Amino acid sequence: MIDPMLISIVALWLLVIALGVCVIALSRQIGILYERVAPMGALMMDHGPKVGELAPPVEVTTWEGRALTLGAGMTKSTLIFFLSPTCPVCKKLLPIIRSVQAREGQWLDVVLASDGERSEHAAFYAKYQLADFPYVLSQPLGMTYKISKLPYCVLLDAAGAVRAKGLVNSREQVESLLSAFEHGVASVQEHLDRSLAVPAILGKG
Amino acid sequence: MQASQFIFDPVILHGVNAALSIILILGALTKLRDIELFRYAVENYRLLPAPTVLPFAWAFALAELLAGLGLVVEPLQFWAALLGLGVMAVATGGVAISLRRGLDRIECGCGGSGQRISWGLVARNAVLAAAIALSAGDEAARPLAAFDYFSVAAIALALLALYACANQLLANQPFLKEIHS
Repeated sequence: MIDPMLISIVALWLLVIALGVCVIALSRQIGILYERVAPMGALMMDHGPKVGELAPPVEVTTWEGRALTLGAGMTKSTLIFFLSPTCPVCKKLLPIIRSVQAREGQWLDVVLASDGERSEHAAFYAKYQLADFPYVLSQPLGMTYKISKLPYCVLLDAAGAVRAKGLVNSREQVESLLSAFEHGVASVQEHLDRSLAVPAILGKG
Repeated sequence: MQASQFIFDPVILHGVNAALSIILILGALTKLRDIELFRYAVENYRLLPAPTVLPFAWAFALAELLAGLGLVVEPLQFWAALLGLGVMAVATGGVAISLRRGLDRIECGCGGSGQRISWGLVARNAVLAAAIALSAGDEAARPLAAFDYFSVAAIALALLALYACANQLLANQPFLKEIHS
């Protein structure tokens, strides 16, 4: 016969661990709620110009002092890459953005966007040799697209319509944003949903 | 039974040790898997001259890994604990100095979800360091039965769950502040 005390202890331990897992899940969900409720907190789809809509033209000034209007009077498509000097992932993606610029330059202009004081950006700008891109510091631009997390990409076509946008963390996500544009799909998620939907339908048949 | 007898019981020490080891090894592996990202996180602290950032990133992640592995190898435990304490001291020192300088918007580089540095993080590290110091303590000798191993595993799992909760709550903090502001 098993010692009743033993059974009780084992049961209690299992309960403690199960409750621990529940608390992790709850705190994660609370985190997501905070993120949605916070003033600037925005997940894709909910805020800013939607994919397919015309983006409101935003006048910005580049690092060199040249005036630029994003969202109107463009001859090529534009990829706006929102970044900040203190965001490690942004720095990691810079070489990828650079290669995209070199490869897709025929139909695509890349614009780097951030906000804050010029002095905070000077060292970053020099160190990563960002003179190859138009570099704009504009709070209204970030507000227009409701950027709350970085690095974030917005892809505008030549007519000024938003063709794809989203948070990007890796080369794959940057590439899929571009392929979303080529295939006329709104976001990475939708792209995934579509490619997953096909096998599901086949599976039922 | 005295409190010290309870704390230095092999079951408690082994449980704490196992949890710490997993925490350190997982932390090191996330850093090593994307050393480039960790390097930029280190750079953000603005405490090191540019050429030393990458070697530091490698050294830090490897030291963390070694400490994690050593904690579960009985003869190496003491040295692993010392190394672990060193790693914690360097990390926490960096975070504290940056916070004092008013850099509270940078990511900690702890791996994963873009957690920002905060005094909460300093507190979390202090608890971890205390646990590492405890795990290097002399355990009271007593023969272990099968059930003791179950207890060790349960303690380790429960501690890991607690640690994950603490991290999640720390990551939530900036959003909560945004709501209040």
